[in-house]
Amino acid sequence: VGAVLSPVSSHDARAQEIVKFATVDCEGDIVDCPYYAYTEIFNQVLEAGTSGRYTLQVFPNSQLGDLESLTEQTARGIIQMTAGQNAGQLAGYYPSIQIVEMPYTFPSLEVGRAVMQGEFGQDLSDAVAEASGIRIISWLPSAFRSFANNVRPIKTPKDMEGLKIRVQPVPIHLAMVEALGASATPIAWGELYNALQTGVVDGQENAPYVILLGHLEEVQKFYTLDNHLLNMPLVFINEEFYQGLSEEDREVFDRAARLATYSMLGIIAAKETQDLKKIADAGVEIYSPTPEEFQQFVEATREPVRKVLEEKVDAEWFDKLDAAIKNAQAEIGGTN
Amino acid sequence: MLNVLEKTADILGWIASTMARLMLIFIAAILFLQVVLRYVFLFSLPWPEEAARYLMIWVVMLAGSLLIKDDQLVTVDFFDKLWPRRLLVARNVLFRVLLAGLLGVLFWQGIDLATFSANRTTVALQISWFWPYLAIPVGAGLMLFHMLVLALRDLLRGPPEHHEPTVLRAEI
Amino acid sequence: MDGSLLVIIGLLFGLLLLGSPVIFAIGFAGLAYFLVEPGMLSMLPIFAHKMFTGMDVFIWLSIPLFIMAGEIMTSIGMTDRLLGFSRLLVGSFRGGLAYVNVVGSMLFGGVSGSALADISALGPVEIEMMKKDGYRADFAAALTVSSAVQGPIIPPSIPFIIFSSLTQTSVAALFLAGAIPGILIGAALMAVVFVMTRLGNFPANPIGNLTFVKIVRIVLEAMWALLMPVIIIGGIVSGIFTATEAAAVAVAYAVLIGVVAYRNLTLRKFWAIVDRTARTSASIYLIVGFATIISWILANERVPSELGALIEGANLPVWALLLMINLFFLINGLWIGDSVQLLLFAPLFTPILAAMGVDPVHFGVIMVMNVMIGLLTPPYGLALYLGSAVSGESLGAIVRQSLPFLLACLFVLLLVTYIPAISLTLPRFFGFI
Ligand code: NA
Ligand code: NA
Repeated sequence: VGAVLSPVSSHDARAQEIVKFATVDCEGDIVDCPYYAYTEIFNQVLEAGTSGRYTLQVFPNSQLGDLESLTEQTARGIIQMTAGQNAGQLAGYYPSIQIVEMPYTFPSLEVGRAVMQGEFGQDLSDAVAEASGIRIISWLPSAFRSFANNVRPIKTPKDMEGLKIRVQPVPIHLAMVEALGASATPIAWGELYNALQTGVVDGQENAPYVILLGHLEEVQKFYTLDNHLLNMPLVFINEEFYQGLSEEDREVFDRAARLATYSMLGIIAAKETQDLKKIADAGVEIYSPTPEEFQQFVEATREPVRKVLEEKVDAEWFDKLDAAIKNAQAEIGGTN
Repeated sequence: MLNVLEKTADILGWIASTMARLMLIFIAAILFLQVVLRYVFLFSLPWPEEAARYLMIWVVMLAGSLLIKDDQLVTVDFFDKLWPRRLLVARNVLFRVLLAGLLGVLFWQGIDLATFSANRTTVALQISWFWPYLAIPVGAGLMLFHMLVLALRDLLRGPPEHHEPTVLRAEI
Repeated sequence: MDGSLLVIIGLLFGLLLLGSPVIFAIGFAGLAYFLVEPGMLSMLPIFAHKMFTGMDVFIWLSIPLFIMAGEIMTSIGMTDRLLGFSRLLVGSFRGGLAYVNVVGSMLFGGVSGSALADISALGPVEIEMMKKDGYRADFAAALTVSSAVQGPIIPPSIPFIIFSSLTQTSVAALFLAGAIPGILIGAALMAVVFVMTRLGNFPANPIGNLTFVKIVRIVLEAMWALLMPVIIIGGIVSGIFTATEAAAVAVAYAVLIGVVAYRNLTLRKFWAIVDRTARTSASIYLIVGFATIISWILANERVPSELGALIEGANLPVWALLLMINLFFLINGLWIGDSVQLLLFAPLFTPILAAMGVDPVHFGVIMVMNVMIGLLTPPYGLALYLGSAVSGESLGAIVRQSLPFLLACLFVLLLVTYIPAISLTLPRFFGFI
């Protein structure tokens, strides 16, 4: 991949239209900065496909604001694109999107990717765009979130009883953690490392690469790969801007997004095993539940979470998702 | 006329101050409660963090209007002695006009902000974004009002003599 | 750098120089960008939005709460007790009250996160005491102002809270990192006082008729205040609460002392304290809000990336870069207040220096020391103004008298800049970095 990268051009040509792309992540390192590969490939395809009429300008490191702010800036067209967002950011605009955050839904990463890059993802993207003015141009199902803690190895939901688990204050996450018998504790991301280190909370739930990002492996002892949620960073584009493109240009944007997604997910997949090894090397005991144990997590959370979700998500999406997962499973062949 | 305006300013000031104080006490109380709940009862509420953040912005915008009303904004007074008094009056008028412009923009954009996000809900409290954002236009509106009353007062009565530097009057 | 950026900077400094309220110089400079820069008028919605998001930061909630705790402690007479305890410790040396002034601020630093709070709470008493004892009033004012600088370097600290959330650095680590540098400043100031007692004729000021019972009473009364930093740091380190929650605990603790131990915190007093706290916080938050807009503008003009490239291209060794950055902050300190400097430059420089191997926590301490020293340099040295107002002495006289103390602070700044262990040992020991 490295050979095809060239720095995002910043020269100003008069006729060139600048597409502002903001992230909270770093720039310049293909392994450590999640969106570097994305923006590089996107820009290359974009510039080549439009003969340089469009170019991407990247604002890394939260320069233009945090996730919440970048979402709103995209909605208002102050910037055109932003990456690293999650479905929760859009729940305020379009509550039904929370269906993708239903725990223990996707049996495997491959199924998750097939579903989100297929018709289901497209439909949901259209619905969100209509409600919010933001189009999800890329779904990046990248890795599963799992529980980590400092007290004991978690094999079944029983082991979670009485643990203080940090969650984001999102209703579904709260319902899930509480259904498992733990105490859901909101702690700001910036305070999480110290909170785990000092014992303000016992554990948290994140994907391996996020754990490494926050150096949380230094302050956690046990990691159970219960794969409850599929972490799905999103790339947004302002809908008005997108619809204002000529049909040809829009196709170039779509192609750029597709290729960028493809390359980025490839890098992440290659990294995943390494990430788990790094976490284990830091002294964290990693446990993979047996299918029977996994089923206990599913049973414990299904009803309470569904109840929370049914208040927010239109019923049709449940059916659509079920169907899409079945299709994908049939195509890919079996689970995992 | 000025008396009526000043009376109104006092009433608005009293309301803003009372609300800001109650909100601030509430912020301190829920954050403390959160510690006690978690440490003693192993239980956390999902909303205090978010509620405290948004209430604080209300506190700031309301108390900010008091800073203007009571002329408590810090300025660099170091060179003020070098100014001829007549020029100083003109300068102050100019500043008040500029500030009124700034506050006007903030008021107008604040309303836009609040209405634009009205049908979006916040993560934890699940309330409309209208309510947190409303602090901006309400605060800016109050500030603008107090600013204009002060400007009118200066115009009709002449500016008050401030012998002490603003830092003494200021709340910093 | 293009024209509209120059307009902003020109407006900012111009308005400040002309004597505009600081908050609005920043706000107006930000607004001007949208009017001057072609095509930006349509982006005006970002103005109110950025102001809101700039203020909407969870960690910053500890600012009003630490202010409130400090106000309560002052209002229930904690400052007199701290000064009494300081006098017991160092009053009997030659130059006694000068030492008391420094030690008093060091102890008050464990309660308050603001230098200006130190001057207004301790200043009048300290200066009065010193004048009565035969010290020159301008000297007393200068020492009061200089010793206040250590307050926000010793935890808790408002500037560290601001730095932390701008750079995703741990507040707890910063708090611990500031403890030793803060104490070092106090020690350096006392060293200067020591030299002066050899040169001048400073009196000692021991407490008269000191009996054992009296000593115990002084210690016990001050104990409540002395426990405050122990509770804050202890609670954070042992995992009872986070650094932000520590501020709420500090308020509860101060109320508890006022109601149960000293029994002089009335509802009326408390109501007035909350009003003052709201106003003080508003003044800080509004600066934060407007400065966030300027930060956004700088980022939109790609200043951070260009500055990073510029510094990388200059290929300076780290020590030279640190020296230049210190000078840059000190010169800015002549014109820009502490929080504005932090808001504009902390996000700009921290990633660049981190890439060169400077620990962000170390850099945070360097930066906060710089902006605190900036409170002592005219023309925009707010501590000087306040000191002058509290003492009735002229600004010029205080500036002259504070020179040796300023040099002492700068000396400690150099030590802290070039010996990372001074700041990093404590947070490392407790595993915070
Ligand atoms: Na302090
Ligand atoms: Na002092």
